[in-house]
Amino acid sequence: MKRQYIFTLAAALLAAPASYAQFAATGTTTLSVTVSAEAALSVTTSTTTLAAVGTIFNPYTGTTNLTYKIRTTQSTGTGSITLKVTSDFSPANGPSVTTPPTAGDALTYTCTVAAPGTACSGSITSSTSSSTSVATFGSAASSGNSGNAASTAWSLTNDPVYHTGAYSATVTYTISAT
Amino acid sequence: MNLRSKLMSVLILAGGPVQILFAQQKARIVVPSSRVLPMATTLSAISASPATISFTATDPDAGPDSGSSSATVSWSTSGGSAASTWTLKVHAAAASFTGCTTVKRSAVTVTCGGVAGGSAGACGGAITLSGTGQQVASGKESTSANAPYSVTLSFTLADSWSYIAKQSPSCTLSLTYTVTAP
Repeated sequence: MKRQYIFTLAAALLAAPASYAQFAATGTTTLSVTVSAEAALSVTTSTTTLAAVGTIFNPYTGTTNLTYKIRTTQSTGTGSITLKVTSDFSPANGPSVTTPPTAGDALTYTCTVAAPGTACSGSITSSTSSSTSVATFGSAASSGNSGNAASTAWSLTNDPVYHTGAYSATVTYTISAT
Repeated sequence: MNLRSKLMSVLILAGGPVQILFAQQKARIVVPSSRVLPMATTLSAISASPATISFTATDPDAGPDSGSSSATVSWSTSGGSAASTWTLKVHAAAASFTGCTTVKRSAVTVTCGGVAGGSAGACGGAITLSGTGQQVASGKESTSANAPYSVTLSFTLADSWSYIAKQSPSCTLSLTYTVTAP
């Protein structure tokens, strides 16, 4: 019995591999992230020229392009792009958003918005007293990292009472997300 | 005699000096020092502190987000060999953060900031997290018992507009560290 035991032990030693056994251990870390709702936009047409073309007294028209970036919250998030005329046309004796020289004169616009935004519906009359919609966004909306396109196509009444000359107004776009 | 012949055969195979045993002696095996097999290194459990690293992704245009702190990964070895190299690897089994499927593990970069313990400790280059272990540090083993090692790692998260916002509960991703010490 003893002989058998000795031989078995010796055989095991001789059969052991030349390389060492590998031992490994593992540990963990948890990475946690909160992703905030966020939005930004850039108006790429810094100055939009409104010009009348075609038939006499056709409206003055022009287009303002912008790029938006947005991400809204899962399930409950919303977003919007709005605009407001923050500085009415000047100098005087020309078009005016606040006090049109003739009833019915208006600065209106229509919207084009790339997904995931939903463009405003129809023609909207701009205002100096309240913001008006350009686009809306639902929950879990996200844009590309380089931004998505949107634009507003303007139309300004061409009223014969306007004195000749150049007039300018300022429009401010605002984007928000929750 | 039968016992002697068997022992002779075994010891000759071992290739070293032999000690002839007689039937009256207590049987034992003598292995020359040149043939002593080395002991494998014993590893302790690995700990990482703090256990959780947090990111706050608030503005994708502001660049990558740094984690709330760096992490220190620690362990110890016994029976190490100065000629042997240990390695630390890290991976994330899940492809994206739990609860934020738009935030992929590949958005996380792991950078080694320092190595302590053993000798010749060195950081590897920064790695982008994946599902397979990638080496972030290595070094030579200490021969001391309960020899401590630590590696400091920092994390950055590439923020993106493509992420869907989610603030509560936060989204999580579990990282696994693997130390290999021969």
